[in-house]
Amino acid sequence: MKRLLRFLLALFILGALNSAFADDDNSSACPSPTPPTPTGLDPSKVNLAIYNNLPGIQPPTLDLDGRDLSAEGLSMVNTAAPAIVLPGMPTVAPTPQPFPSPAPQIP
Amino acid sequence: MKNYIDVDGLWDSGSPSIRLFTKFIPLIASSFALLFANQQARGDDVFPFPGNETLFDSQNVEGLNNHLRLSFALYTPSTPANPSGVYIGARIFVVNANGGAQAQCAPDIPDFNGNGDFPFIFGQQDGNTTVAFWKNDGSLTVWCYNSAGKLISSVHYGPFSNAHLASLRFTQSGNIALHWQSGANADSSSHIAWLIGEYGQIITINGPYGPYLNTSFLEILDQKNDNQQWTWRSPPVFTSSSCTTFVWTFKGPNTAGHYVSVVTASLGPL
Repeated sequence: MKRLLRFLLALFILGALNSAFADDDNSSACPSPTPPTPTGLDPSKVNLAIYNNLPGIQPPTLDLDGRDLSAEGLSMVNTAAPAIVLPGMPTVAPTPQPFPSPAPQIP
Repeated sequence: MKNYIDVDGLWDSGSPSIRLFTKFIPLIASSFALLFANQQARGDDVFPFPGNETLFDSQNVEGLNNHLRLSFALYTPSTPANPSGVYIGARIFVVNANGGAQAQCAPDIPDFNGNGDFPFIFGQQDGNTTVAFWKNDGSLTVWCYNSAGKLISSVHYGPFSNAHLASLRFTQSGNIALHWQSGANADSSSHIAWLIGEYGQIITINGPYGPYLNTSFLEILDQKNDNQQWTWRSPPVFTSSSCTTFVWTFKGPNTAGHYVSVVTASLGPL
């Protein structure tokens, strides 16, 4: 009986110490000012200004905080989206024009 | 483990059962160490193939960083009704220059069309892997995995009511050249070119151009320096003695993704 009590006391102290150290770890941990960006991702490569002239077209979803993008990526493809107009492309059959000479006009 | 060393004194003065328990701590710790070491070693040279799917090597691509991207087609198990199984998608592995398995890309690329279309795959210089795949509705999806196989970007373009994807090709620098066409016939259609990057982001937009009288559309080529060339031929039916090939070279895309100058070259008749 005495041995059992000493064993339980040791377990209790051990648990208390463990909790104390765990709390210390949490309190001493510095909060990260920005979420970790995954390896290989450089958000500056995405020029969001381009999308301003493309109504209805969304830029890529980037993993900026290290989350698991799998569900979002699969959902993006699984969701049946209605057809939209490709910006800049004629919506009716275009009429052929004379070939531009000497150079085309840049839209 | 260091935290627990401080309590050794208490435990040493305790019962034999506690002392026995403390003797097992190094054994338990070493077992975990061995387990993780084995997992690490397995990760270097073993592919974690699933047991309930049949895998066939479908395509291999060497990336710009000399790491191989292996793509395996995923099939359902063989059944009497369908002995060869049903294609359900593709799984990509990255193999480093020494031949060791580096990563398994996740998630797998599903076969949304049910017709066995394989995705386009490109290994980037930075270790990323870009894949492009499409649905029967004409929409296009671009995913990018990093060197650890983690999905880091996803984008979906289309479907479009006034255009379809006429061609998709990876450029030498790892971008994707997309050619949108307004109708079924290239010569009577308008054309728009997008250059998109490794995350699927749009880099440049060019067009629309065409259709032109008595002129045939040939192709759009993207160069390594992001210049873009459009090629036309007039008259449409080729004869070396009468045809002229026109090449437009677009230069210097601006921050809005539009080219700012164009040079025309005309070749022929020969």
